[in-house]
Amino acid sequence: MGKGLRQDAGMLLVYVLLGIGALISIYPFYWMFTASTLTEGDIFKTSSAWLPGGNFLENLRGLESSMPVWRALLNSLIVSGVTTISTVFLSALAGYAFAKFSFKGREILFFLVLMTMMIPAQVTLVPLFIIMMKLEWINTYYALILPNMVTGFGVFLMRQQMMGFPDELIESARMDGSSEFGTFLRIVLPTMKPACAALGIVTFMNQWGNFLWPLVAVNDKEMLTLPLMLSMMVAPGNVVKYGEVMAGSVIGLVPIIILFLFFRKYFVSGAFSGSVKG
Amino acid sequence: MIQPASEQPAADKAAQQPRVHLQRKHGFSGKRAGVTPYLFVLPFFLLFLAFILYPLIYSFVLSFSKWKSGNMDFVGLDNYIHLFTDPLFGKSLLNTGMILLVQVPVMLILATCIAALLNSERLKFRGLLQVAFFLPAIIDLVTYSLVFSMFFNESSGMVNQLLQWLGLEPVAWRTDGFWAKILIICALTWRWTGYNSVIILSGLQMIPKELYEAASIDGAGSVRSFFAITVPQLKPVLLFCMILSTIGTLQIFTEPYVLTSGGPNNETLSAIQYLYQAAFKTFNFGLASAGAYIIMTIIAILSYIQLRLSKGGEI
Amino acid sequence: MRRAAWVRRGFIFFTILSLLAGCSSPTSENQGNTATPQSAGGSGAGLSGEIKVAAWNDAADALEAEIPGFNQKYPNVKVTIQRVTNNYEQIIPPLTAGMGAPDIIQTQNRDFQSFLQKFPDQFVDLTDKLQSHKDEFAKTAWAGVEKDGKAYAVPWDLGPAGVWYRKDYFEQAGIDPKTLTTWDKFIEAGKQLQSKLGGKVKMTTLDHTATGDMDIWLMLMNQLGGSFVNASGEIDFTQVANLKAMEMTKRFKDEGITVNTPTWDERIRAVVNGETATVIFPVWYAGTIRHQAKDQQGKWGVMPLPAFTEGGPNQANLGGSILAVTTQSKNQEAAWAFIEYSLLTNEGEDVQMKYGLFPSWTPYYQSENFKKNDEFFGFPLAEFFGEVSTNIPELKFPPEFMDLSKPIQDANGAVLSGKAGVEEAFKQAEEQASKASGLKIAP
Repeated sequence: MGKGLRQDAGMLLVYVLLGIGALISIYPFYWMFTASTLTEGDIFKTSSAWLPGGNFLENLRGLESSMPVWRALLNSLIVSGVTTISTVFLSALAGYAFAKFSFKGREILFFLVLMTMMIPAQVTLVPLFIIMMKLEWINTYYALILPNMVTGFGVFLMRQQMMGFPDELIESARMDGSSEFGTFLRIVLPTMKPACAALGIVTFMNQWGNFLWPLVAVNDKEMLTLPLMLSMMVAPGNVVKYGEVMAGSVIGLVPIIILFLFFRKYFVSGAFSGSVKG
Repeated sequence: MIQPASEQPAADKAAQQPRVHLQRKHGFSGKRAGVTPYLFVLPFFLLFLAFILYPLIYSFVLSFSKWKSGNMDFVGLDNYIHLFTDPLFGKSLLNTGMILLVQVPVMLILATCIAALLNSERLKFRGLLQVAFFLPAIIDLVTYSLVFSMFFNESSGMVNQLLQWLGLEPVAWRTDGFWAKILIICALTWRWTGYNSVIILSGLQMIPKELYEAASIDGAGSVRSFFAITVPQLKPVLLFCMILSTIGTLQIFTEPYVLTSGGPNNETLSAIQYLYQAAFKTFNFGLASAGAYIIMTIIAILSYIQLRLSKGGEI
Repeated sequence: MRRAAWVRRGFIFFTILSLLAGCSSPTSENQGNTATPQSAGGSGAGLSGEIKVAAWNDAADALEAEIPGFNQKYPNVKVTIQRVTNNYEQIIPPLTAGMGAPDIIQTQNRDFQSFLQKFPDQFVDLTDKLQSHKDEFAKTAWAGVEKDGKAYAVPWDLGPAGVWYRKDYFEQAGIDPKTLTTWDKFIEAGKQLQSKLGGKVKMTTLDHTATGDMDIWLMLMNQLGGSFVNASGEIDFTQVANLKAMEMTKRFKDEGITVNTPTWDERIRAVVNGETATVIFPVWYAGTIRHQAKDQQGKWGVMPLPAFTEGGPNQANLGGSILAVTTQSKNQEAAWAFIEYSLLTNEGEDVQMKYGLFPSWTPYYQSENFKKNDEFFGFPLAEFFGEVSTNIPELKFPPEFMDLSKPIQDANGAVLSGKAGVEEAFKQAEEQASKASGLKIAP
């Protein structure tokens, strides 16, 4: 009896603590949503910026009239989607090779993989731009997608995961005459769902918010990604239409929340923890 | 339970097998492997060559040159010498280091606590709570800067009003260097704690329940078993988070750029921000490249040390 | 087109190999290309081609709105506006690489000399086209586009400064704006206003650590005719005008008449919530007041800057942009035609005015539209700023300004936060600026 009470009190404390933490985490998003529904004058008013207003559609219409917001959303989806799929697949492929084969140069190659995680994006900006210019890829999806098709982080994560995969299963697949790629595709990859989901979410998230490279890689209005479009609407010294920007932010938030809810169960099922156990 | 135990994939179970076993059997030797592993890593390295290595070499060349009248002139070590003698670059490194030293431990401790709470057995709404804690990682820059400037406004901000209501002095978040650093730390922690706690949670769920049951029979309270079981079991995950956070914080740019512009008096100027200014404010790409190489070297050394300390060199 | 791209894919790594081999001077291919566009005169119908214009925010909106009018005159020129941020992140790589730049770019007036120095050969010499217009531009705007007697850009808008003030607050405090002829009086009035209105309202706004901007100091030093370098191009931060302006800025803070506004948003917040009675800012702040403080319609007035001494100089400029044609452009004539139509005709400027861009091209000041009453503010806004831009001291931003601005802004911050005295801080800034730019310090 007493113990049950104490446990209930304990749970209450857990809820209170988590509740406070969650509130702090989501408040800015609440503010974003609220601001997107207010008129321009009300957003900055300390007295009225607490409750949603009825101006969302108007802000959205304003945004639609000045910027190709749906096109930007589509661009963001295409770029993030393709880079995510390719990053997951190519990282798994390379990670598998690093984990399950011994070959000449493996150590040095893997060191190169790790090195790529340490490079600040600002460093490669101008040379990358020059490459894209020479290939005439500025303002194309190629420029947005190709440099991000695989990441060192992805290969690292996948390699750590693959190291735990039982060798016996691979051997027996080989006995059955499966090709190496076939083994990877049919035997190994399906067991890596959680790791793939985790890497997928992180990649998608990073790409969704990626900013600096798209800024340089595209300048055509039709090729803008969502965060890029929003950043262009904010320039100190100019009139900034905050309500419209916030409406755009709200739109940009939806796909990523859906994605996270969808893959969440994989994401927390041990995908990352395996990565350092190898 | 939202997280059925049966979902645990084979790979994860295998991951817990003793590592010696893995080391021994790890890898299939020569003949059968042939070109296969090379083919498998080929896509990565083709992309690596084109979009990482080439730009890196290019900027390495840039780091020894200076743009003048549209030409690249070789200037030897000038850029590096300039950086090592520029107190501002030193200051930016120092700022970055100070933020790192406080922020990463604070964040990881907080994240571990949150993960432990989220791992409570009878917790309801776990999914929703996870989403809530994860969200800050995807905040867009405009909202980020607006909300934080609103919260930490010195005269009318909510944080200071709360402090005053508690009978404390309002804090000079923007005009005092020390507090501006705290502001940056708060913002960084706000943005990444939930993300890390989700990762740590995934580690928590892999700790065998029997360990806790045994401890409970021995009469250990939840606090004691947290320190006796949870923390040691979590070490690998925490290390993973620590390395990633260290790399991330050493490359910190967004927060000082968006929230404090590096001020007051350059007290929150970060190293990457210094480079950004060199490149885009004064067009000095040579200097920016040189600085980037310095920072990359620091990151590489720190990551190496962290790995060494924790695992005897085995990544 | 897509297929061509796919075919090219096969050759990527080939290309990259060749890139690796020859990554020397990327601008070389444009070096022979600095010729000015063929001489003026040819009326427009014959022009054809496509031009791209890179501009940001309001300015981009304004240019976009010029296109229909422009196309009536030049039906065969297709104009596309590229949206960019105002940090030049999209402009610098193509200029550095020597390829991929749009036909026309916008820069801030104060930065253009730096562009000219760092990217010579990238901008078309427009001297012949502009010769006859030179005297029509506000002097201080023109100073930014000229190098060695040649003009490489067209001054766009101007930012004559004034004091925006809340009429209702001034009335409540019993202050007559007409009497605020000196900054001393302004400060006194500020204290009076703050005590009458009781705590919640400050007289004006200031970035207390000069982290986000040093705009107040810039306006005050410009008002006094200060500059960053002396006549022979040596760094001269410690000239009297600069120091006096800094002392006054510091006084604003020390006398307690300012609310701290370290960012653009926070100034808006102060305005919208009525926490400040004035904003010392140029004409272009009208748009923000109009837009973000809609329900304060009719409550805002504007007066000339107070002077340092009775009857002293009281005009200053802050901000303003330019438009330049790049030598990478294949349609330089069409690019010029677009700029000419937008900035050197009354129809063009009518559009600019709609977007709050106050012209630096003075013939427009005679037009009907310029003298029009402004509905939101309730007085002829443009006309007022026309009157306070008759004699703005010319402030030449040296090509090294980008190297100088960080040290001087840091000095502003050091003074304001009491870390250093004015002279000491500015002396130190001179040394840092000299190190960064390679310029000598004035004796």
